[in-house]
Amino acid sequence: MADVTTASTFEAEALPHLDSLYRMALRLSGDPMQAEDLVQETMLKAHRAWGQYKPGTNARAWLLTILRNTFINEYRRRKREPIPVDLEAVEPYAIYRDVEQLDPEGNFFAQIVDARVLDAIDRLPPDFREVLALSDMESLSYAEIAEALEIPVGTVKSRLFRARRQLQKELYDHAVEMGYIRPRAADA
Amino acid sequence: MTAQPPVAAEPAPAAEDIDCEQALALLYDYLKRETGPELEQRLRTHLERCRPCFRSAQFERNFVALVAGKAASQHCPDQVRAKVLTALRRELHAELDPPAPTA
Repeated sequence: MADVTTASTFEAEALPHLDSLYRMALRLSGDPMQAEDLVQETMLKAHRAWGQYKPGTNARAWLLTILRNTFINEYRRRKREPIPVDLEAVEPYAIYRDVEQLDPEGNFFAQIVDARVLDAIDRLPPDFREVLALSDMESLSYAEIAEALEIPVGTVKSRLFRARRQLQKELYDHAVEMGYIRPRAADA
Repeated sequence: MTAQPPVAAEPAPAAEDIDCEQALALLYDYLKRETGPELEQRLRTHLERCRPCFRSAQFERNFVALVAGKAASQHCPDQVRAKVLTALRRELHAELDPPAPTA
C-alpha cells in the first residue's frame, strides 16, 4: 500500500501545513515541548491514514482535525483544564463603542506586539480559543470547523463571536494600559 | 430599534435593502465570505451607503486581519520540521524495505 508516489504526495500536501499544525499545537497545549511531540505524532498518524484523505478537500482542515483528536485523546488529561463557566451565557462586551470616536478603525490593534496578542489568545477559554484559532489564524470555514470539533455550525458562530469580543476587550484594556489609545472620556 | 431606510418616492432598488441591525448581525459572516453571493452583494450595498456600519465593518476587518497577521508571525521551528521529516522517512523506509524479505 505504501509506495514512493503515495509518500511524495503526502509530503507535498501535508508539509506546507506544518506552520499551521505547530501553531494549533501551541494553542491547544500551551507548551512548546508538547507542541513538538503533538505535531510529530499528528504527521505520523496522518501519513498512515493518508488513504482516508479525500483529494480536493482542505488538507489543512483534515490535518488539524487529526491534531486536535490526538491532543484530546492523549495529551489533554495531563493538564488540568480550568472549570468551564457557562460561556454561552456571558453577554459579550462590545468595545467598539469605546473606540468609535477616537479610533473607529481600530488602528491601536496594530501597535500591540505579536507576543502580547498571542498571549491574549492563549488565555481565552479553551472552547473559544480553538474556534478562534481555526477560523482566524488557520482560515477554516464554519463547516470545516464544525466538522473538526463535532459541533453544530451555529455553535461555531456563537463561540467565534464571543471569542472575538473577549479578545478585543483584552487587547483594548492592554492598549489603554500601554497608552496606545486614550480611554473613552466617560471612563477617564 | 433601528431606523428603517427612508422610503423615497422612487422605485425600490433591485436588491431588497438590509437594515443596520441585519447588517451588523451578518458582519462576521460577510468578512469570512460565508454569506453567499446574493446576500454579500446586498450587504456590500448597505455598507457603501451606511457610514456607521461601514466603520464597524472596517474595525472588525482590521481586528480579524490583526489576528491572522500575528498567526503568520509564528512558524514551526526548523528543528521540529527536521524531526518530523526524519520520522516520516524512517517510517516510509520501514514500509518500503520490510525487515523480512520475501522471495
